[in-house]
Amino acid sequence: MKNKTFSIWRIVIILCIGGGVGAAAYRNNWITALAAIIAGMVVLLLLRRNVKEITTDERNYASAYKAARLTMAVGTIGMAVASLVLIAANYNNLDSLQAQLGFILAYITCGLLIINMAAYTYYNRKLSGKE
Amino acid sequence: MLKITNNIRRLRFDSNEMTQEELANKVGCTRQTIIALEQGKYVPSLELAFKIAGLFKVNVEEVFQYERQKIK
Repeated sequence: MKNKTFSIWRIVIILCIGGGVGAAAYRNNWITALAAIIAGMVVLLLLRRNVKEITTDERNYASAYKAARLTMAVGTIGMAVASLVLIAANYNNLDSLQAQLGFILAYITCGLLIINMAAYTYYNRKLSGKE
Repeated sequence: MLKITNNIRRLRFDSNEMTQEELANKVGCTRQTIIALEQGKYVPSLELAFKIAGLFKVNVEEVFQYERQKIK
């Protein structure tokens, strides 16, 4: 199968998944929605195995790496600023929804930074050449 | 500032007018990567550089060159 053919099938399957999820939401049935999503993912994976062309290579990984770095930088700074603003604006009422959201954003930002630090430490040691 | 240039397009034409797709399939990358390489928008990894040079049966230096540019 060619990459172009797979792209067309991917759009069709995504539309089918969307239709399935929409129908399930209309009938208030989350099991059907979950089944539609899982079935769609399985079909996509099986179709992708039949694609003979190379779909991703080092350039795609390089682009993904740069995008992840930018997302990390913008995301953490944005969430930290948002958290600061929400908490500061509701300093007199820390039990309010906005203040609680600020705290959640702060914890998420800290969590992301910890994961980033751990990953960096791991890869730095792996690539350092030290035994 | 260093700039890396390449002769991939010329080498490709000299090799029985090999297409970008044929080159991509032989070195194990996408056609979009070959296009980006020829336009000078992407610098390949050492592995890919050696694969391309090996395919054309030349040294890596004959495929890729780096030149120091004057900062304006």
